[in-house]
Amino acid sequence: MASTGVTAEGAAAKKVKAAAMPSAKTITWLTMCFMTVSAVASIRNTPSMAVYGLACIFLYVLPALVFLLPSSLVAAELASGWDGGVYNWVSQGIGPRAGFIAIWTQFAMTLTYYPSLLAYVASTLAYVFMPSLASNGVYTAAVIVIVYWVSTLVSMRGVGLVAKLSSSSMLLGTAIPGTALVLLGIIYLVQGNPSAAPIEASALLPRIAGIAGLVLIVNNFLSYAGMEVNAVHVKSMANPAKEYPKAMFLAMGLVVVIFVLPALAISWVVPSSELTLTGGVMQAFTAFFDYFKVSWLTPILGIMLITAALGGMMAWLAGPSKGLLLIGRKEGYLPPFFQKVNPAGIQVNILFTQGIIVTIIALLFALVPNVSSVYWIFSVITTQVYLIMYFLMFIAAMRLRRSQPDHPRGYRAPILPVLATVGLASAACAFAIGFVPSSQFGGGSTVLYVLIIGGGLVVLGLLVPFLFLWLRKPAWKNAVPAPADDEG
Amino acid sequence: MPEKSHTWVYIVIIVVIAALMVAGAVTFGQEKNSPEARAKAKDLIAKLNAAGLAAPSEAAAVRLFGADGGRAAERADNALLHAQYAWDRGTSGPASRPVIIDPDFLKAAEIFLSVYAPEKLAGFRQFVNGLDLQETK
Repeated sequence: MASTGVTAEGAAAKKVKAAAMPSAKTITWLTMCFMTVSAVASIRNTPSMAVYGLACIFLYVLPALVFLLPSSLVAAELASGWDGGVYNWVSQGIGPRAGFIAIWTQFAMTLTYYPSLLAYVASTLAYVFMPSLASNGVYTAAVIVIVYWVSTLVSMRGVGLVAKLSSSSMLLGTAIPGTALVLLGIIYLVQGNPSAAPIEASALLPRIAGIAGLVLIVNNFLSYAGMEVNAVHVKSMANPAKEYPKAMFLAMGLVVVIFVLPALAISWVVPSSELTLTGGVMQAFTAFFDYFKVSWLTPILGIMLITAALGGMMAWLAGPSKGLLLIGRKEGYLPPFFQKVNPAGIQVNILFTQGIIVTIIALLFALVPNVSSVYWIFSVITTQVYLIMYFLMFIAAMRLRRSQPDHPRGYRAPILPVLATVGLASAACAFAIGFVPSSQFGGGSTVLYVLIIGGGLVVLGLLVPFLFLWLRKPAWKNAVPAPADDEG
Repeated sequence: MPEKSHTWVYIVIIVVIAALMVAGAVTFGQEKNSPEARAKAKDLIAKLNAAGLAAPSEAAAVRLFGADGGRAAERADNALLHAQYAWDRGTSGPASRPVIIDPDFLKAAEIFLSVYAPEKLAGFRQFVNGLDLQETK
């Protein structure tokens, strides 16, 4: 709920509270924390970071300091003062058009994320039941489409259900197996076995060479992207001003622990050469479990990882699309068709449209080899687009400190200007590195690559939202009334 | 309006997850140990050692790769699996991006294919030749 111009802390607090009254308070701070972790972290790529041994601490902690910490603390402050998430923070701090672009960029990123995430689900499922299926395009396409639509239909049943499912999936698919990996790793060392990766001070820093090393480190900033995505649901919390920051503090710690400790455990047990050879994430886990003669755990872990991936996807399904609805309705940026919600307050037509786009992208990805080969380019473009949201969020946070200094905030981030500046610089580094061709671009022209990424960025990140802004009509504002219990 | 109870949704999800875990545990443990698998494992280890690369144990190689090399061999000439290659080497997450691959990763993979799927080696080299590789460590 917008609170522009409100300076009396008590009055504003009452206003926010009153506006939130009709909502069902379905999300506790712990659920919000687990939802956030579910959206951001998983252990599915720990073997790839385990290759770096002890240096994976550096590869995760440095990005945590320069990107996770600023983005989480800034989001914690903003969500403790304004509901609605990114769209409203940026609307308040910069303006509604910028708010629309911010939520659009967050939404657009998910369009390529779902097919690649679900391709991973298909591949893992194949590894458990019939490995030869992993290379079958029809199988992959079928899994992506079926699982995506089932998840969409489930998420249409309400944010409370999504919150419970995504937070439970984090416990089942990330926390439990992550803890098991760490315990097995400790047992391995306690038994007197030598660590496969050197445990000495000199191994703490990765031997970085050239631009490839820089790409590796800066890409790790993006491991922490998405901490802000569930802030759109703060009205479903009983006391978001206090509870959301608490959720973010715990989520920050959990995310780092989830990334670092299981990767270390695997590096102690499985030599990096073996991890390199195995040809996939599940194979690396198989190698790990083989050392303990518990290979039967591999398929169970596989199903757990799938559960975590789907829970994380549901958090993403429910977040950006909700923000898009809220600003689309409030400012009239979206046609009435997209403003339709079901009785549970879920933006059904946005989700259906998103589903159709994702289905087309997924079918092309899985069935057309030429598209498979260039799919990573789409993914780079959408990540670049997503970074625009971070630029806007950090700028909005700094401006709000100046323009609305007395607006009630449940939490004030310390040295916010410094945090936001560091966050901006990190996002700028990640943005710049996005223009460095990855291995798949081969010996292609760097200029061509920059033009492709830059062109895609302009079209998807700016042209599409500007089209919505340009075509909007005054009658679109609140064209479809919000249900009384709408969390937004 | 408070949300409806979703008990049946939870029940269906729990049953599906449990069924998949049980079915996976039952079907997963296919025996890959065979004289051919052991011979190939020994060949792989010898070639990796000769190239100065660390090698897995024979038991691990047999378990992971069997006689046909498993997925690592299958992906050698498959566009869909190639598409996931650079992601497997980087981090996961919604904004993950492919990385620049270290040549050591692929040196070991070539040796691996020469043992398990020599017929796919040419296709794999073609794929590798199209990559821009740089050392990261």
